[in-house]
Amino acid sequence: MARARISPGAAVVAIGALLAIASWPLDAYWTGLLTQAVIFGGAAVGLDILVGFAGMASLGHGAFFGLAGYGLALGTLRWGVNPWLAAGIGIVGSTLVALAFAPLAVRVRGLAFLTVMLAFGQVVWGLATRGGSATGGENGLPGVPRPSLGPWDLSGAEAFYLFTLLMAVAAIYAVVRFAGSAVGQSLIGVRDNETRMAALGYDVRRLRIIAFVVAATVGAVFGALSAAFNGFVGPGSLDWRLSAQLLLSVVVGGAGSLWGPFVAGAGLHMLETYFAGTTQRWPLVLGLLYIVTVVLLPGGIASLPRLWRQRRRSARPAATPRSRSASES
Amino acid sequence: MHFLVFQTLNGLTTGALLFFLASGLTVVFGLMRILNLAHGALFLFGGFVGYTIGERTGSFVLAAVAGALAAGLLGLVIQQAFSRTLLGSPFNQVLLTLGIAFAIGNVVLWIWGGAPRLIRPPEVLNGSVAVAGVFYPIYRLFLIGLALLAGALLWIFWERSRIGAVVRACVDDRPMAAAMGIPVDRVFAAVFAVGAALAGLTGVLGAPVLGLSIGLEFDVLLLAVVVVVVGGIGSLTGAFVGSMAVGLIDAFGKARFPEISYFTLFAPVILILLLRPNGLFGRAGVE
Repeated sequence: MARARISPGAAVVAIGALLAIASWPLDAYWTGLLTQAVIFGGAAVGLDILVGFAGMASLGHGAFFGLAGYGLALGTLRWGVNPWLAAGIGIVGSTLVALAFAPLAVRVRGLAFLTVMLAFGQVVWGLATRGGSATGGENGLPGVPRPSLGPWDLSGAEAFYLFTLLMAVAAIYAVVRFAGSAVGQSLIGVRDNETRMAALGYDVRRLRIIAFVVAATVGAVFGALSAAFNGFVGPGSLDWRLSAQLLLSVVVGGAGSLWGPFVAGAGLHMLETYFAGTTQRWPLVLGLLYIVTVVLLPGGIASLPRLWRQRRRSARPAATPRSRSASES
Repeated sequence: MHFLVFQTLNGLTTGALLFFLASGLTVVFGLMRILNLAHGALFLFGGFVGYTIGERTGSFVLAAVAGALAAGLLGLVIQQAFSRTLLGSPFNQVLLTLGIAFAIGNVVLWIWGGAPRLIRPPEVLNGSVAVAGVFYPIYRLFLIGLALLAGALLWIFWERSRIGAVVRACVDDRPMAAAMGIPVDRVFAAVFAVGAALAGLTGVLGAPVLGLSIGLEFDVLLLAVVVVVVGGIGSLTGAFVGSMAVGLIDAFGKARFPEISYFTLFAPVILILLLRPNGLFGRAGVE
């Protein structure tokens, strides 16, 4: 059963290159749509480290996405710093908030963790909404500038798309490498059997904190990209619905597979942007989509290749023994 | 002094509504380990059905009954249609029940339109009375009283009745309850339907206070989930204490510190869960 395997890191770069070429014939609208799709796909990949690998479902991940955007907006609009520095402030700031909150949050598990994160997200959302002139309140902060990278002007749709892809490839490449590392693999151990991992001498608490912060940082990178793309940040980028969308992208894609959440995050966002403009029934369609996925494809999009291989194998004649039982987490 | 009385009553009103909502959610969760995120949508659906029946018949009682029945029936359909997925992995539960919530919310919008609605309280309960120096709507006082009564009745039912004992047995040890000949599947279905009916009833009872509008389903859902987890999953006492606490914190927070009311509401939640991961009245092992 030796199948030729390409390394996941190379796959990320290859897909990035393909996506870059794919935008060639597209107009500004579709390029913009694709940009946002990459942003949400990337954020979902980051969250998969926390949800799929460490097994901690968070309903407050949008906070880190939104905080970085607010950092960028406040930096450029209120403090007058260079956009690159402001983006750095946003991402580092968001990461520091995660680093400060993680030791508390990882004390609880399961549903309590989900709720703690929900409450955390609501606190951040509430502070931004009621922040008055400092955060623009419910109106948010319009006019976030897009920087230029040396001579490369990023204000055009095509240029910003390529820049987003570049950042996404870098971030997702890092996530994939992290997932394959010893730390990433021991996270799976913590998810599956915490007691055993602790008995083996792993610092379970530290591993959880690492997963939390990695996911937050990746979310922050894409949050800053999102703010620069939209030229705007508002409480919508901190809304719990965004957190829910990210979490559901991970589940629909197949938690722990990394590529599935990217496909789901990007795909769901494109569908939403497209349909929300054309029909009032989008929430119904989305709801039915979730229901159908969970009933027909409980392992998510990532289980499709395996199902397909199984079908081909069982279609083959005579007694091919089942090589291994389906053990999806 | 007036401020104190007024906000306390406001908090207790919110708490009363939250308790009706959270009691159904917590029992379903405690029994089946199902976090039903469609609970808010069932609340809204019941409220709108009650609105229509109320407009047609002019009777608040009929509206409340219709709202509870409609939501309970819908809950039963959901439970029967998705019984296997509902008992599956928590991730898939979240996906399924949120999907159902989105679908129901949009269908409600389709049927009733986007305009917010209000159900008038019954004639008998119209007007205000003086309580400790402040005039307060009778209907809201009625809600507070009803929550106390419902809490007491639920507690007696839960702790003292035979059916309550059967349900508790299923919560504590499902395989053993099944081995003793308790029809566990039917108990599950019934409890799920009753939880949904409670949500629908709350939709009607809450409509004179909160109104009915699209989006409300998620506002109340978030608060109900918070109440359930803080109170301790599966604990009716926890749901009651949690509801009243959240209601009071919400009322005083909004009145005293409107700028940071989300902070005053959710920061204590974080604190409580960090100190007591199983909630105030929860037991270890129930996750």
